[in-house]
Amino acid sequence: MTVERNNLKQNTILQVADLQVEFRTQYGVLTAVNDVTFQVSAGETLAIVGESGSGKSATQLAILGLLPTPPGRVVRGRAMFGGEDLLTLSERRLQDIRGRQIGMVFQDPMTALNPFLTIGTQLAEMPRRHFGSSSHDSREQALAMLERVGIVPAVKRFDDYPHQFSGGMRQRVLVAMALICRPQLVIADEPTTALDVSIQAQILDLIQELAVREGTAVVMITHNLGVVASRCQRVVVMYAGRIVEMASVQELFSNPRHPYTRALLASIPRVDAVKSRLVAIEGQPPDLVSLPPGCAFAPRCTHRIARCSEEVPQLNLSEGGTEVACWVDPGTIDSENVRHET
Amino acid sequence: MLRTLTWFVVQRVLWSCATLWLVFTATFFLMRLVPGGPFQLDRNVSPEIRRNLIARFRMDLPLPQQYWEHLFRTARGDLGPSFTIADYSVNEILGQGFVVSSALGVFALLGALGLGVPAGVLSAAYRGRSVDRWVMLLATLGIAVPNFVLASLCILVFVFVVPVFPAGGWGTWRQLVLPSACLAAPFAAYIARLTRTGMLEVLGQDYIRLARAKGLRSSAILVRHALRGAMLPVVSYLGPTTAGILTGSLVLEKVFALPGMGSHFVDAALQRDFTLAMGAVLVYTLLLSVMMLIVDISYVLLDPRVKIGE
Amino acid sequence: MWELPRIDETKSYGHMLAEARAMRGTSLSRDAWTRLRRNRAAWISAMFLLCLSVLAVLTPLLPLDSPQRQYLGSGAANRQLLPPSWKGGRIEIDGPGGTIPLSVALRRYDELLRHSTVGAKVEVMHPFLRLWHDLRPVDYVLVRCRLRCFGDWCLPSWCGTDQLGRDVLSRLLWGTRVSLSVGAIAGCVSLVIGVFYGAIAGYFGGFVDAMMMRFVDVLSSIPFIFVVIFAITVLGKEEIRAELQRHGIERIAIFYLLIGAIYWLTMARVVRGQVISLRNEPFVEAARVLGAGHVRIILFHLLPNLISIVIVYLTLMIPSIILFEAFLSFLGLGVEPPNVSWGILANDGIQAITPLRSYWWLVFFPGLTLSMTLLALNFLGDGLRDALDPRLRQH
Repeated sequence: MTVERNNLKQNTILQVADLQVEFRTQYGVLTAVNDVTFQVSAGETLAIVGESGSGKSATQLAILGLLPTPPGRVVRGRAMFGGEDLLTLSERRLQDIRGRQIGMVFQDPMTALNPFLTIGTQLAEMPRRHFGSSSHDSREQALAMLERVGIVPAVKRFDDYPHQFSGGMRQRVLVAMALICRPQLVIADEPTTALDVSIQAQILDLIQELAVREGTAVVMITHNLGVVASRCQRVVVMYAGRIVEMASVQELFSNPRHPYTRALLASIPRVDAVKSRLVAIEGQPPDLVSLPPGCAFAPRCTHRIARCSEEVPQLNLSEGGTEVACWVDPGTIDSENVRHET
Repeated sequence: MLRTLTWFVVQRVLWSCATLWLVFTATFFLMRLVPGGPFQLDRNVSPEIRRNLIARFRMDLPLPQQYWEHLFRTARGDLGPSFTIADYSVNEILGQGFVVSSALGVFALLGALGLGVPAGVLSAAYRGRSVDRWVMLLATLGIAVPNFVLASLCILVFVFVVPVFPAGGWGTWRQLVLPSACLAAPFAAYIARLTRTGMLEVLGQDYIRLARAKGLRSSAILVRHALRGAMLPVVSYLGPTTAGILTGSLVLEKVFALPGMGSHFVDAALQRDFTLAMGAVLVYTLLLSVMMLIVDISYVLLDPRVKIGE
Repeated sequence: MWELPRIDETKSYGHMLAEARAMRGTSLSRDAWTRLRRNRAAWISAMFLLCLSVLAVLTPLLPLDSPQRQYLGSGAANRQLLPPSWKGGRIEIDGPGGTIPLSVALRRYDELLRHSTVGAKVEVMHPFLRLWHDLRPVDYVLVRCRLRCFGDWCLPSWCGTDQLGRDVLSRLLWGTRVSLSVGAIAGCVSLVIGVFYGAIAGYFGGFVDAMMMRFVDVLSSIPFIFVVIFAITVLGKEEIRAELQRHGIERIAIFYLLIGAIYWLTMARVVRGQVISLRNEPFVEAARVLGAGHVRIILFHLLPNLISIVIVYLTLMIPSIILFEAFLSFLGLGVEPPNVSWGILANDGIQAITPLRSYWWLVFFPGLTLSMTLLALNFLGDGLRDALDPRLRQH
């Protein structure tokens, strides 16, 4: 382990190690998350990037103990948070941590709010639950929080039901819920995918602004590399349940090492390219029930060597602090053309 | 909100009046289907009663006038004299029966809800475990076994094998236990199934996941966040439940020899007491409309998304 | 600005063809069939109902005692309220000098016919008519076959006998015929009304639809069960019954119509909803472009697509019809003696309960048959719904 990583560890607030999550489906047992290890430092914004089914949501649900069990199951791993392993805590203790120390922003604001309760009730029940505030105090706190996420005048909207709000407004309410108890960590699971493009940036800015002000760490789960570039410090790239690359944002964009990361970057449509053509990654996303024995990306990889389909590559520290799980020497890839320049 | 609610109620009351009128007209003309009028050829009717009936129904008038006359009197709440029970008006007979039937019906409705909802919640909370399987097995049986079959089995068991309850009659609460239990059973079973389905559906919703992510206690999630949504199908089933309980009471009052409206109605149908049967049909229609209105209003109050009148 | 990715044609046609072959799935109905087979409760229910229907159809062929012959004599001739037994019996008929076996009675009747002069009216009732009320020609042949096969021997009273000494097993099976046929026929009546009403309303839409559906709303706010009981009160009056009899209308036929006329409302709503969603599908447009008329489109293009949902609702509707029939017959307002139905049998059972003794077999066997049939129909309906339309599946 390097000096840099040890330094990071000192103010690490969440450390996930060797996490493995399985789902039992009618087609067989699939491993949604495999050997996932990463850490989040106080105040930083970490992005977890990957296509759907890559295990990013399952990782986050497992950490919070929200995995739908029976089908899902944490096989092994640790998630250290404040000196406790979240994966072994009792449900009651977890309930104290959820919402209070770790906030969540869900993907779809249209379905995440309870349609039968007013916005105010749903927001105010959090301080009442976690701080034992009186109904008057919790109402005041909820009103203040609504103002801060830009729902004004808060007093007027407090007793409205979710169906009276637009999607963007509801997402603001969700952000307010995630932050009202001033948690140390907020996990945002694709917080903008269900929103109009024009509103996406507003919500992201809101999360970032509030997080910076409170010194809250943010884990941003996304498949949108655009989000990553502007708002995060570090990026974890996942593929088929494993981390394939972990790097700082600058390193990832200027010097991507894993072939999958490169392909991802290449698939961003570029307005300035001369000959533009929508680039897709060849082949099918992997079938998680029957993964190939080696690297899961090998069948789609243009650089694969014999070893790729035999042995699973482990994360290795590469230059610039980047960690990559790939058998191929990055140097040989560098000499080739990166696809989006063709 | 209040104004739209009032308007909604007014609309529904008008609608009920139209339904009542339709039923009245249908029964009136059905009665006139009998060749020579309903009172002409029946041997059982004594001359005095027949004379009274003819006078009461103004049989001397032409048909349209008879119809209006009868409609106005009925609208004022006068259902006329009974056809077979001398010296009793239909109002008196139904009034006496109503006390019995409403006690039975209210007990049955409360029993169905009080048994069905907790059973459904329990079943959903322990989904896939043996509690769930037993509750659902019982519910399936409860839905399939008709109430009169259940009633006869109950009589066999609780009156003969383990003599706990009397076989019938009216007067003490013990005499109401078996009939209302048999009346409630199929609806309790159905409500349990609806509650379970509703609960499972709601518990799979995103907003329940959010409530969990907010760190709320499980009981608070179940009661405050989930139960309300899960109750919606149950509430909308209360209308059919009421109708079913009214219908079922016909049979159970006969089986347990309760002197309720249902027994009177069935007897009237068997003995061709047209006035009593017609009065009973109208009262049942009225009762049903009132219950439907209550159900609809509670639905509106329960779900903020429902716009009144839609 | 972007072009669609070009397909390398030379390479891909063979490849695509192979892929398509590999992907060729099972047909929808076979898929549904497999799903139904896999649902154990539904499959057992289907088998049970099949057996019951076969038994009901073949009842005259079975060596059963008469469902209506009463044994009220003294000594061995009195068979009132006997518990279930395993001792086989003999089918008999009251002759001029005591009871005689049916075959003997039949022989005597034939002789009587042969010896009577041609044209003279035979005053003696056919023995069959004294044992079985109202045999239809097919049933007559079946009873003849039964006598050929089993002679006078008949099954023991496995289910005991009732207050009038009649054999409960026999009554149960003859009642099954009536109850199942009420379910099937009244079900078909409401099916036909509901499907056509709903299809027409949904297909034409607009004003026609609004009016037709308003009518359905009005009807569904009427508590029909009570009105039907009232109607039965009126129809039960001797004069009206005689009048109808003269036109060849039996009470049971009115019964079918009355029930059928109530239960079509839900079916109409469901069918209308489906038709509305299908009305603007390309295949309907295509049929219209090819010059198909409204009738043709409804009959040959829309209705075939509704079969699965109609089957599901029919299976779920039939138990409520059977239950309604049993309910009315139980109250004495439905099927009338000497016809038998499950409701009448259940009522017989209740009537036989006295403060002193309970005759459990009179309550148990009819109740069991009725409940099992309703249970099986419910299971089958649920199973069919899951099999035919997995989207409708509940938890």
